[in-house]
Amino acid sequence: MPIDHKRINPPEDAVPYKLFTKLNTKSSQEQYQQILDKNQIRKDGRHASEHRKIYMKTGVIAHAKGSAYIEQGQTKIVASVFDPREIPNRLDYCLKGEVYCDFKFAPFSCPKRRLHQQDSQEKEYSSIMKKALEAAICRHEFPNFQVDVYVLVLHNAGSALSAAITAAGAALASAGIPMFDIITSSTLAIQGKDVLLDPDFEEETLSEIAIEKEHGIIVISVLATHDQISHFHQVGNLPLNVVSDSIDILHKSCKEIVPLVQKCVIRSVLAGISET
Amino acid sequence: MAKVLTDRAYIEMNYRPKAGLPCVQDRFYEAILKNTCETALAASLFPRASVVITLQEMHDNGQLISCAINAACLACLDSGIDMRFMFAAMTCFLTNNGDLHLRTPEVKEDIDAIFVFVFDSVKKNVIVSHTEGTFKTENYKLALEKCREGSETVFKFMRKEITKE
Amino acid sequence: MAESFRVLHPIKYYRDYIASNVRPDGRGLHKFRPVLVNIGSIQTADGSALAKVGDTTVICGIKAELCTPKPECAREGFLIPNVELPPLCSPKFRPGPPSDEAQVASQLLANIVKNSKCINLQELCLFPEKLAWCLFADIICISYDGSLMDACIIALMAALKSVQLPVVDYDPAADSRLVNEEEKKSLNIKSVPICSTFSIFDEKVVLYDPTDEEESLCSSTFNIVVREDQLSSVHKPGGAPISDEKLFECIKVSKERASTICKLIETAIHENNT
Repeated sequence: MPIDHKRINPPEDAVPYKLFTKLNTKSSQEQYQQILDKNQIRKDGRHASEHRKIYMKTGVIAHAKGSAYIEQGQTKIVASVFDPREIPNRLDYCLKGEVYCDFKFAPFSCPKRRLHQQDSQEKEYSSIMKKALEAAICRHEFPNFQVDVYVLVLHNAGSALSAAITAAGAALASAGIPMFDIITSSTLAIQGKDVLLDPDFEEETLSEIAIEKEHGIIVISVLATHDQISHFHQVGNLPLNVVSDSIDILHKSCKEIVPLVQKCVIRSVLAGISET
Repeated sequence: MAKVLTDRAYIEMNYRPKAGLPCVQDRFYEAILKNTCETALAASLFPRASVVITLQEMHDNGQLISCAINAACLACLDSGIDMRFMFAAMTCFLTNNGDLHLRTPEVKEDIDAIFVFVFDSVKKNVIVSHTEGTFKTENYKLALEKCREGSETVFKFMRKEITKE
Repeated sequence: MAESFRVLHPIKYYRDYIASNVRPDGRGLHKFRPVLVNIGSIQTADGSALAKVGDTTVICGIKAELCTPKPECAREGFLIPNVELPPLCSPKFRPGPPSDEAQVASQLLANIVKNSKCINLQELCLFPEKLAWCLFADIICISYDGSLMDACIIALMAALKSVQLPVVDYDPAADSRLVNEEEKKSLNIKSVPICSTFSIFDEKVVLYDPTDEEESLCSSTFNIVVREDQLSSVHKPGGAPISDEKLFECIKVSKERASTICKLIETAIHENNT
């Protein structure tokens, strides 16, 4: 790895200590069998179709136009939105405003240490977020301008992408950016016949591996009022009927989050009124 | 163009280490040098302009930061850009027997703390204070006095050098 | 009306406030903002803490890894503090490599850790020349509103105090390492340095614990770091000159504040353990 001249550099041969723990001889199949018991109850006591509890707060960042903090189980994410600004060095006129998304995992957010530079997964998530949010924002309201959306994952305990989209949606709404609808998002992990809503980190990683033929992860973002799906993201190998069933489950779960976001945004508006 | 300031001149400071690219430590020195020159130069006389100051480390034989600051002051004087005051840096060493020295002690292990001060030439107030190591307030006070006395010599030297030409 | 005046003539706006000995946020000139500490909220890190000083929020997560010590200090481990100022925390920062401000903050933090000797790096060494701990302390600013260093140091020290390292069995003959995650030890933090930030407005008025707006309008900002009753650093990186009298007044105040914040961190650690 080249030396980073803009940071304090660690020794080059640092390795995570987890590599030297007593060898984990369980195969991923065995690990997977422990995740769900006969009654469809997961390790943390949730039913397979149960979403984790969500805590949400807007206005956490003093100098941002809008910001939101979300806690979905142990997953903790902050999102901030800044005023639309002119795009520097742009010559052509653009009828629709731009949305810039920046998704970042904090170095300590995952079991394995993340690097400071944006890696390919973070870049992929940034572009997914951009596509999902673009559909929810009235981009024609600010032609030739750009809205910046930044997301930082403090603790990744699974379903980080969907939590990030929900948080970014709330941040955009609290920033007063014109939007068509509130955007919410949800994740589903599938392995064989097991369908897990809002998977945690372990469930998520195990569903990405092909233990059975049918496996994968689906993330959808929904604009609830018009029953529209603004973005669909899937990894893994799934047959058609499973995908369409999954969409129904995810759609329902996304709709359940909407009142929470609404309440949160209303609270921030009320707080704004009482201040002035 | 992005760095144009409408009310004063922009001071660009480049501190270059002896070899290789500047690292975090060099940026740290650069920030001190930049802030010092910004206050000393009468920047508000030259709005929308920029002053570039480049410092190249030649050889480090102790008291590097003091030397760099004094060099920057002399260079500013030589450039003829209006200044509000001159500035001079002094380094002081606190050894483990409680003595203060202006010269770098022979044995590195004896040093308990290092103080670097920069004074202005008018009121002799502190512009920069940079310290290494842990020390008592009294020691800090004594070091400050010692450096202030020492800075007189530096100011005298600078005046002599400038009037020579 | 007041808001547009604030935007158009910020310095005049502040001068009017300061003339009547009060700041726009309602504080007196010599008042600090409330401090909040939360410990151990990130389970993926080996130690973590969140510190809030007014509206400045900073989170520190520490991850431990194993490495070989440097040949010149064969009996020492590493503590690598890096301050991140992501674009998320303030409109001042743009995406990309660390800004100059972030680099200066990282170096200042590393200097303070070294100067205050708050942690003995030799205790991080597991076997001389062969194996040592490397603690990656990543300090990320979530909300930036001035006095960054105060928050960074509180977060770093609280996180260091909450670090739990597993026990490692090292066999030098076979160069084999076995980490026992069931048995964990905390670090021995000898002392807690506490930083206080001050700003000089109009070259004569000293403002304690400045906000972001105050820092940008002031002609100088400086930090005083106190460890127990000693000074660890008096860092004034240029800017308007200050008289001795005011400087020593600030040192006195920093000492008083340090003991209060030390107690706060202790309480937070204690409550986290019970």
